[in-house]
Amino acid sequence: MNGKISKKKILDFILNNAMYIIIALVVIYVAIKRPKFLGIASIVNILSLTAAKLPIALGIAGCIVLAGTDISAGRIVGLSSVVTASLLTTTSKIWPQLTDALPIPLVLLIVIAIGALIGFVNGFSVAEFSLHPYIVTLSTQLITYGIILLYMQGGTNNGMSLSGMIEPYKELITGTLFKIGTVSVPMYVLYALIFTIIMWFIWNKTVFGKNMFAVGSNPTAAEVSGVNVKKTIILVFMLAGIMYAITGFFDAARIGSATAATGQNYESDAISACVIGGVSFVGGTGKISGVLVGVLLLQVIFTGLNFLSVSANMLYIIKGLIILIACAIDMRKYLTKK
Amino acid sequence: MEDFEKKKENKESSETEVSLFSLHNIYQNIHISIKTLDLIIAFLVLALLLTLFVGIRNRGFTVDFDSMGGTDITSQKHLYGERIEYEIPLRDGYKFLGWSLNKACEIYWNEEDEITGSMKLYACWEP
Amino acid sequence: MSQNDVLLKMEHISKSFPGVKALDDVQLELKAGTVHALMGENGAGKSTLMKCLFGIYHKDEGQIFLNGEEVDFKDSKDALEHGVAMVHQELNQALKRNVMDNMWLGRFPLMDKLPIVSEKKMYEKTMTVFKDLNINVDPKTIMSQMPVSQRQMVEIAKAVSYNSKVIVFDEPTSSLTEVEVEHLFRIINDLKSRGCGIIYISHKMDEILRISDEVTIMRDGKYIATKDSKNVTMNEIIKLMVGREITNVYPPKDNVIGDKLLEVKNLSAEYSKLSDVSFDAYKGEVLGVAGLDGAGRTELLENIFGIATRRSGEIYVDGKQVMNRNSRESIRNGFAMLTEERRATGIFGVRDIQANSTVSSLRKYLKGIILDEKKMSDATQWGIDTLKTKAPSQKTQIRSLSGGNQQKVIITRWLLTEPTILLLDEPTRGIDVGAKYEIYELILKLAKEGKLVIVVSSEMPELLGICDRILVMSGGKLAGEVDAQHTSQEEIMTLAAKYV
Repeated sequence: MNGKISKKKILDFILNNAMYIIIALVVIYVAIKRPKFLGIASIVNILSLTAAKLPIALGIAGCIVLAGTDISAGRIVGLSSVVTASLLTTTSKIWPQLTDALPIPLVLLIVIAIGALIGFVNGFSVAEFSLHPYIVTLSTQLITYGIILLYMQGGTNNGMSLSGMIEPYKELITGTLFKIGTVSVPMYVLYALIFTIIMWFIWNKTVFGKNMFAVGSNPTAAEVSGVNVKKTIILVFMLAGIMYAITGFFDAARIGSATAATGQNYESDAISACVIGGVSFVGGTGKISGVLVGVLLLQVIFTGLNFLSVSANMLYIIKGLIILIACAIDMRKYLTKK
Repeated sequence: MEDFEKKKENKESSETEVSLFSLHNIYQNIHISIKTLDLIIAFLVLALLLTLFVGIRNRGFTVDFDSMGGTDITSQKHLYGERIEYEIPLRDGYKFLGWSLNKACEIYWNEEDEITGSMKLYACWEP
Repeated sequence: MSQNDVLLKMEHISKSFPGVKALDDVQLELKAGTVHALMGENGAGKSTLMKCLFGIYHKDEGQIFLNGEEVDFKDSKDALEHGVAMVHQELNQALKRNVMDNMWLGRFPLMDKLPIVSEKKMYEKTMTVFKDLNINVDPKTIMSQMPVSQRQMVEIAKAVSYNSKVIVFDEPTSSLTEVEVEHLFRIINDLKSRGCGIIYISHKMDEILRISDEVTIMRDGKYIATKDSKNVTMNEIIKLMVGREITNVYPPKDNVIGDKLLEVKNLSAEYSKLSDVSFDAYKGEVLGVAGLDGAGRTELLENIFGIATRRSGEIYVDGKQVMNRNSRESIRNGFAMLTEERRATGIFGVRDIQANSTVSSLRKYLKGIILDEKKMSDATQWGIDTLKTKAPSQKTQIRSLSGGNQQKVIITRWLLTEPTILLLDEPTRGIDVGAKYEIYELILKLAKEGKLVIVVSSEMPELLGICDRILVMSGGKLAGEVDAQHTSQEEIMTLAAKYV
């Protein structure tokens, strides 16, 4: 009897944690094959990339808590990134009339406003017209991409990639926070940490956060209980839009240039990170710490595979399978608890 | 009979009144046994491991060269951390400046740079 | 087959879930041609036992014999093929398809020569079964266009078409009107006379005593007793179910009625047939709302509370008009509303008890813009203590609690908004006897504090037991108002049928 139960428990454990086990196996394999993978330079690299992708994942996590999703995320990052790059340069081809770069805080506000606006459109359509977020954000994704392409044609730019941003801006984002040996940790790691803390407060310590979980868990009950469901949905999508805009603001400096393709498919990484981190598609459950762990684990596995020289084509297939497995495990957890 | 139908209508209308957001719980209507799901997970994990295996077996990043009007240079395959075999294309009336990651020749790829992924390099020319 | 042949026998059934023994050595013996009622409080293990029968759960121990042969069904389809059928509480049907599609789903009759589904055969076969059972439904009707009662009839017909010998009814009358219940009982009696064995699960005592031949009572996952229905009284059953004697089912009424608090004038709804309802209600009063299903009782509360669209009408509290355009405004005006469908519109299943308790009163716990954890846990604890909610901790997911405890958490949610007018829609539905009594006590306590409690209920004895006055709704209109102390079920029923 007991043996049977414990065997079942072990199987349950293995299946519920299949994702983590696979990641652990890959890490061990890579570490044996390429000891450099666990070197300081590589670890700092993983942490920086995690920090760069954290804001977008934090934004999308809110939409998933609402039992929705947001696939316009990557394109909003892209738009924010090209707008930033075009305004923070002394030789803007898109805005030839600009002889000097705009003030950095102003540009940040502009991109945040753009992100919030697209987020508002997403949230408003979902809340007011009861459209499925997948459909709504699919259309805003396309529209945003169109806007990016048009914007890149602006002035005399003719679709070329944007670079040559001003030094103070680059310094602000990619400057050295501190050094470990000879490896420097960039400033945006600190910013990502700050945003994570802010999001943790919003999720756990504010009326809005509690309402978000209530709406995600049972929208009808939330409406009856006096939660302004529509307002909450709109705010969640707007907050997400702002987080994407911030990701884009970082990305222009982090990558050093911005093109129409910047931000493409970012949402798929962010969504898989959330699901791996336990933000369930059931709605109403999820933790900031889970999102953090999810983004980190995903980064570890992809950096590891890069160390093994696995080609980008294979990575797409691997990413797709990871999302499927994460969802299947998420479903399993839900069904076994039911 | 008529009364029943009316009643039904009422019920439905009052339901649509309160429910605003039709997403509630995507797994709610899923009828699948845990056993089947376990099999699916096992299958997917197997598929992932297989893909990883194939990916690692066929490892290597492709480096493509666009000589921008010069003589063709064949693609190369390298592992992480290796360097490219630096070949120089020829073009009548132009001087070769180097390989760049973008067509605008803003980010030059030096001979001693380490490869960290697949990429395409563009030749930069000066008349 | 004679009356006394044992059709189905379940012996020594045990089933454990992590941390709980859901079934402990349970037995059940169903004789052919009888109705066997299965009773017990919520969580007593009735549904678990049935799930073990149908192979939805795997029993840890015990045996099941069908006609003397041991069986172990893989799933409900396997059971159905062996002649064991279940008519579910929540019907699982393809609502967009018609009746005969649903009847023959998975075994469509084919044409003689071609592998094509024969609509004609299907129609004829369906009609044969329907005629046999005296069901008056066109097999081509789309399921979603029929009332629940008729959909249930289809489900029964389906069970019969499989030649089922054992049919399990799980709370079959929970959404039926009196007339529909009569029809159902006629069909059950008919099935009985053909030698079928019926397992009948219900909370409604009077029904059980009327329809059943034997009663098996379970408590806390254990088998308690099997009694002959003819020689047992309602009180005996209750005693066995709760394991203690309940002397009077309703607590003593000692609330005092005060000044006029609420006035509703000519209330009509936009999307339901609720029309022209006017009434007054007083401080310290428990006001009942009776009526048949679909009479507009729920709609009345929804319109007062502002979660359904009002066409016309005015609401006054303490002589001042209130708009109650949405739930937020209503809460500010001192209203609270417990909804009928607890699972669908009440609980936040995956959220913990604390989140479920505090969701409507979050602003109370703000310190600046930050929520104060201490204040929230104090408020939740107050609710757990006052209502005697049985919960392992504040961090327990609400869906793991029993129905009664879930209801207590939702009541806590509303009490924390400090309401003066409570609208309770079926507050004791799906709750066991002990918890029901506690909720009655609470309603009377709130009335004693000078609050107005409006209770909608389908259980007439309940309304007569705790209310001061009862409004009777019929066909969306207010059919009349009766004094709960000087009325009878007959008077209320007559009023309820006034505009049907």
